[in-house]
Amino acid sequence: MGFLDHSTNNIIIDAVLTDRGRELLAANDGSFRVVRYAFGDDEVDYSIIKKFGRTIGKEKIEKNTPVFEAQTVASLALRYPIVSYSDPNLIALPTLALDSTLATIEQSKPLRVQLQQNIDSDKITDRQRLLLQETMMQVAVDGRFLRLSGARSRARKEPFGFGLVYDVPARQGAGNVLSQIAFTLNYVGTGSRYTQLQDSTGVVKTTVKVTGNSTGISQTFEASVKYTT
Amino acid sequence: MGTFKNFTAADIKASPSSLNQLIDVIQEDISGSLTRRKYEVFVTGGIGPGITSSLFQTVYDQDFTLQTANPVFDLTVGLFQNGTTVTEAPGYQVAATGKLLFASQSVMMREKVDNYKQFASFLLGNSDSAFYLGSSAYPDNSGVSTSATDRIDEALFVNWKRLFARDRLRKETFAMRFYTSASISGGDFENVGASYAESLTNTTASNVNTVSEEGVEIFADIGANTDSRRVTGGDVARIKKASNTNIDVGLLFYDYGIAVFDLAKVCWEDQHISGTIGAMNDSAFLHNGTAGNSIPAGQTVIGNRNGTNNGGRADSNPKAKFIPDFMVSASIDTIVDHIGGTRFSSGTLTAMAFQNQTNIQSSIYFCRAAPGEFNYSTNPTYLDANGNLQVIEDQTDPTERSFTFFTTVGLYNANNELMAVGKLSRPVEKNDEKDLNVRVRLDF
Repeated sequence: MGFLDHSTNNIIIDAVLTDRGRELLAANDGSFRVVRYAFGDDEVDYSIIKKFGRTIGKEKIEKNTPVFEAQTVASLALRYPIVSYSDPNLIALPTLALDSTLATIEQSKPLRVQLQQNIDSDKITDRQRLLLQETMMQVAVDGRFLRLSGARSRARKEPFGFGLVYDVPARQGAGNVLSQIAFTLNYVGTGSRYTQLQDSTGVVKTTVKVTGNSTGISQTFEASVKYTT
Repeated sequence: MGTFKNFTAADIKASPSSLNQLIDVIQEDISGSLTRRKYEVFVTGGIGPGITSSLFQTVYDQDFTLQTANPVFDLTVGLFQNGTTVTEAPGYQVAATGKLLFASQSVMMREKVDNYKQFASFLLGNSDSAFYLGSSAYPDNSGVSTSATDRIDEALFVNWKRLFARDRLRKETFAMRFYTSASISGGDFENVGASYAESLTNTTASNVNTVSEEGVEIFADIGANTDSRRVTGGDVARIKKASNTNIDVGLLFYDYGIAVFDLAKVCWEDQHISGTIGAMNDSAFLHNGTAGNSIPAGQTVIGNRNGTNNGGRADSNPKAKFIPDFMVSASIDTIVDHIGGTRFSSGTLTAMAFQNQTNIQSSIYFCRAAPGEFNYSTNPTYLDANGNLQVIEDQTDPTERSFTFFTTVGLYNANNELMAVGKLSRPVEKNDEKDLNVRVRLDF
């Protein structure tokens, strides 16, 4: 007979405030209030499991993965959240893919963007399909160059940056498409003042990040905005 | 389903803790002219070119002209208004307005008294109080300042900067290496013994600016944990001579990070002091009357062994002592230069050491991942090109379950905005047979 030591399952770590956390703490209006938590695995490369098998692969991840320092930029600190699904038997998860060609955005040429949440429908049950389907996604753009139409809400500003975040409703799909969203990226004229970010043809390259609200799935793509004619 | 899990009230705890740092000041930082900064705000007028002086000096951890230099502590001196060093100083009078008057042979007497009063007001709650040593009288003899026994009449004040003192000093961690004697070597008297120089006020060579090599003692706040008092200036205990703990040499105010030393105890008070100092002198002279070095206007030689018998000046005071002569005749800058520049020696040894204390308020968040939670990831490498889980080797085996590796914990507000983030030292596996608890500490 012996006692089991569960202390190894009790991990203690120090946290640092993010820029948004500091901003709300400084506001001193009660808005700094932690109510929920999430876990992330930004550094982990799960393809090691495929390459080396579960046993060796797990050991390699545990022992050979350097964990980076905590990042205080809220939008970068936890990019890939770990998710909980009530179904433990999932063998596939959806991906988010662009379903449109990305033309250069100009003053009179907004860009219509469509993304699909795809999965091999043979690998999920109807119940799993409902579980994984997105109903709302967040679209984050650089507010200096782009604004978005087709969103449900007004944009929220990210702290200490130029990011604007919009909520865009997702439509239900069929077959291998679980859901899809569409929105339009519009040119912001005042972005022309950032000449140092333009290339020789007057084009600014910026990124757009789309994140599913319930599955946490995300896709980042590059958009070009042309300022000079 | 989801990436977030809500805390319950029982998951969040607030707890205080403290952090200690060891602070170590080396001799060279105190003695070096580039690491001890002056603020020449005091100027005399009337006789000669005048004297400029600071009211205090700041010791830095490196050349203070560099942007990376940190101020470590301030150093200044003060005189108790009713001590004999003040009341028996040349020309001492009290004007009807209460202003103290002194002859021009003394320098900055009012400022030295004001310094003392400021510290007394700040630390003892009454500017007229005096600092006292002794087991029963310390730190202020219950506000009665008439008794000269154990009273600190000539004080050396050391104020540690907030950067190093933090919230308070930790008791029984302070120690200072100090040279109780000024230099006794050089000139005709280099063979003079320490006891001779201490007990007889005879003449030695110039020692105002010569680094001392005699009489080293360690002063420490021995016994502070068992004997300290709480006064206006917070917790205070006595600093004692380590070689004889029956001898008190100063007071240490832990909450403010201020030490008050009795110069009569930490130095050989009767020791002969000799050297060139700033003075109210309007003409140059030869320090040996008709020969020797030329002393420019605005300076004089204290303890000039040539004296009047050898053609020296009538005011040269050949048997000048550290107390009271040097304390009365020298400016605050000259005294602090002497103490800082010579009494801590000038090497790489530790001159002072103590531990500070930073009080920390922590919120501890207990983040629990139950067996059925957080077993899938949104990491792009979690899926292969076809959307299959890379962690499942055999899709037909129903016993093979997904797992993840945690590296990061995020704390969010009600709007799902990331407030704080913590990192694990290595990835930790989570699967459907594992109940994982992560304690996340957020310090304020």
